[in-house]
Amino acid sequence: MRRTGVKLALMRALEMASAGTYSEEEDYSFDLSDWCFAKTFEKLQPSSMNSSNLASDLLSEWAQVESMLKLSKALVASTSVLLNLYDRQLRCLSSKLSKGLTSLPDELLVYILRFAQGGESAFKDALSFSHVSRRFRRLTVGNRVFWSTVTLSRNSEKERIDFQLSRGGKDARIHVTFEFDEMYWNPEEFFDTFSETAAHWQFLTIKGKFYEGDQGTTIFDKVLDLFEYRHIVLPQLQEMCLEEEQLQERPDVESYEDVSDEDIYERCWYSCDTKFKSARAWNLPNLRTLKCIQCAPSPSFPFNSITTLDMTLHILSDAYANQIVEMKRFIASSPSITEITLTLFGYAASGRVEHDFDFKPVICPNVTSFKIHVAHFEKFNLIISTINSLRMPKLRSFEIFDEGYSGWESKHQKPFLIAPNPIDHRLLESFTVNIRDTNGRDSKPQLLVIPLEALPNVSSLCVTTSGGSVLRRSSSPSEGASSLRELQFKSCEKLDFKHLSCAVFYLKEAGVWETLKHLVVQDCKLLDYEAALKAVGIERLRFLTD
Amino acid sequence: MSTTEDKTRKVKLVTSDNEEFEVDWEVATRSVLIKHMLEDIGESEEQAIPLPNVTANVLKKVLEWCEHHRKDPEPAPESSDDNRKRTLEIGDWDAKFIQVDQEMLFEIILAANYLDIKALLDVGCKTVANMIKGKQPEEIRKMFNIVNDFTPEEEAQIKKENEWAEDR
Repeated sequence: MRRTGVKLALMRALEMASAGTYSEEEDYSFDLSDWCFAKTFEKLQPSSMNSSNLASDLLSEWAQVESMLKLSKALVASTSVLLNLYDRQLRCLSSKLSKGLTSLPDELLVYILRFAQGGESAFKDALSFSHVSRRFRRLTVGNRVFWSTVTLSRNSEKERIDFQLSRGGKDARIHVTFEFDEMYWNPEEFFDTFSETAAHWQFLTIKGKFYEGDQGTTIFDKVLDLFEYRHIVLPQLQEMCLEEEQLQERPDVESYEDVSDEDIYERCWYSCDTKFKSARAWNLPNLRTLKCIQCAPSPSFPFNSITTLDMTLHILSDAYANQIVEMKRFIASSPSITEITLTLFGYAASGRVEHDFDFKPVICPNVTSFKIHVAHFEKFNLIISTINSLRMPKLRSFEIFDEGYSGWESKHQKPFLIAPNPIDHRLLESFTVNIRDTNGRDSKPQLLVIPLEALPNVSSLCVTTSGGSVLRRSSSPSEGASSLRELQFKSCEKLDFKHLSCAVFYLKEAGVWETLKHLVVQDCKLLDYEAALKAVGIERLRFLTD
Repeated sequence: MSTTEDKTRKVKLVTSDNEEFEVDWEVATRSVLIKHMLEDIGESEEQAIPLPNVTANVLKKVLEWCEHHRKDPEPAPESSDDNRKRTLEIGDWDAKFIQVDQEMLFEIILAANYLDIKALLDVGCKTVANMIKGKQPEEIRKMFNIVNDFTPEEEAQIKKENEWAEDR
């Protein structure tokens, strides 16, 4: 009989895992045996039991079987504990998974996927969702909304566009982009392939990047070329975006490897002298919005159904006069415009040189809403002159958003209110001012002074500032009551109890408090409800959080 | 339109696991379902509102959200879900609130849907949408334990469609 030491590593590992000590710390060892005594025990003669060898073997086997029983019990105990642990974890996990995304009803899953679908990546996202599972596919392929945004450009393949249109059906809205740059493409070929989709065109972007070698070609020349390539009717087109980049070589830059366009070129401006009058323009009966980025159309620009103008200009120090004058000229020549959004980026010298801007006023007869977004202007003469030159007798809503100046030579300028002349804008009733002090992080934010006499007819005033706000009225309260009915402080990071109490104090001093209906405090981090309530009182306070 | 009396009123809610919650009227009525039920039972203050589809631990979380947003203005009715601008932005407080495990996240979504709390439903759905956004189908499957149950024919069609995804 060969004795073999059985290593109980497995047993010990199980016990460690189950944090138990079911077997005793003894070193078990077993013989390899056929356990013949168990089978022959009854046949043994009592006399043979007296043999010392036999008795020793018998006792050894008995001891081993007893040890085995102990070990078996310990094994059962350890594995039972482990099995319970696994069961609990798995039950918890399977419960989590079974109650997961797939357990949501169809309408909620669609709702989530619509949120997850991006604007520009809408098609790729929809494809991706439809490739997850049969249920996802059924919900997305069967819903036109997922396929309704189609992007069409010079690189598009007809098969893909046809596929998207087949899924989007009548809801499909095509966003078409024409780009004119160094890359060659043939617009006539494009029209041959895609003009049959014209009924679905809803947004049109025409971009151009021009260099000195283009000899003053503008994006409007390209628009005219497109008119001449093919006359089309775009019954659903609502928005047209024209984007121009004019570049000229910097005078003092040497060419070197890996040089970028920004290193070699600087922006410049070419006035639009395209003559549209003789052209047969596309038929765009529903065009409502015109976006112009770094370009301004000439007054002959042919579409007279535009109600919304959104213009973005990087003001250039050697072209500012032309930029502003051409913008005004177009606005004045487009009486259908009722809403204007103007975004002006400051020019390089805005912090150091201030010109005497003298822009002649133009009448914008039907404009009711004007938004101006300015960034990187350290001084505001140009902005003030621009606003003063636009007379908008029907203006009802004015918004100014100032991102602040973050130039390397920046100095703090006290934030102040820029408002249209109240005499020329007597209907102005809603005023929004949002001034961000981008350099104010490390220093004390400055107060925005709001002279109420500049807003005599405004009934709704919304203020967002990095610092506090003070409302003042220089004239005597007896000189006509203010129209202010609702004052809102929205996301004013540094507006605290003291500032809010001061605002209330000034409103009372100016005689405005009695007629003020609501003072809204929204998302102002330093003000909780109790503090706002203490400063304003329950009658007028409206307290909102994000 | 709520009255001053309403604002001081307490509302009893009973969950599917028979736990009772007593909350301010202003908090409870963030739920359009509860608001309508309260209108139906009128002045009877003692009557508890049964919520058979919501467990206590989920309702506790939902009420935490309602408490924080008790003063929010009522959301304006939307003309069409598909026409409105879809943004995935979530406020700071809401983002912290919704940092829960997946099981609780989906329970909150289901509860918000059942209780008709549109703003909370949006917070939950936007959170899941942010998890999905930009992911490949395989990643979505893995994240949410979804089985790929396409037939070989469907797989072939999907492969073809994937080629179009590369087209700009």
